[in-house]
Amino acid sequence: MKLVFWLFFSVSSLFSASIYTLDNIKDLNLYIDNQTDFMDKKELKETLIKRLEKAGFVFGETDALILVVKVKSLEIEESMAISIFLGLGEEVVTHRKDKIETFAYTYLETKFIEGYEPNEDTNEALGVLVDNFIAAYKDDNEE
Amino acid sequence: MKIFIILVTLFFSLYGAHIDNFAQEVSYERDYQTALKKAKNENKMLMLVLVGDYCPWCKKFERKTLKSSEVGAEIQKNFVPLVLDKYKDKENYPKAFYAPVIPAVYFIDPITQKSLLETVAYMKKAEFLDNADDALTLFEEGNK
Repeated sequence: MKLVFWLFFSVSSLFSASIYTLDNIKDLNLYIDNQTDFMDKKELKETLIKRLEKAGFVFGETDALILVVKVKSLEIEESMAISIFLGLGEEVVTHRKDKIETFAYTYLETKFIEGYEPNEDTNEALGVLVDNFIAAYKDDNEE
Repeated sequence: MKIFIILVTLFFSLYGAHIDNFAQEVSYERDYQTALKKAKNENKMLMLVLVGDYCPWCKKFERKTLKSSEVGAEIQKNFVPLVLDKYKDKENYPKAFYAPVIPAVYFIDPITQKSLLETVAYMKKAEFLDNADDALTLFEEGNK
């Protein structure tokens, strides 16, 4: 029985965190690259900021990390192929020779979906990406 | 070809530096036999941590769990810790501990060289410390 519990908790931990380390993130700046004609960028930005603020992130501060959302689409007959990208970008110091500094994505998740109702399907998929990001953030920051 | 060999050698030497730096930073052994001898002498369990250079979960486990002061203190107090690369060090530790998933941690009885408890995958500090406590209890019960 002990082994069963151990296996359960061990395997569940595989799904409880992301490979990224999201400690001590607070200030965010949201950048949206909307390459579709069915999404409303302003509305999307407002919705995402509201959701992220509820999770504890702060917007509007100087030198905040950049949360990048990219949405691209390609029309295929009656449906739409949609690519959704969510990444956290920041300036980092690498382990390379001379400790080179560069912009890097320190969190990244993408979804590729086929949408028959593009706006609704994209919002749903993006919602999952944002929820995953918030869950990973909380997971890393809880004691 | 020469440049390719130099680059490959450089790549692997860089990794060696990472695992060696980690071991040095948290005072872990890097040689199975040395760690086993030490564990026998000190009557402590051997704690074998298996990682891989390509494995981001292993890096996170090292960074967030094993390097934390509370986990570090507990480990140094009760175990002889050892970190090995699952693949690059595979000739240097028993095949019984060739884990299917990494990061993996084996809590090993130094006399029987059998694992009393194993953990796989990334674990947070509290969860890992619970497992370490369980391993310690099993070891102490076996010593009675």
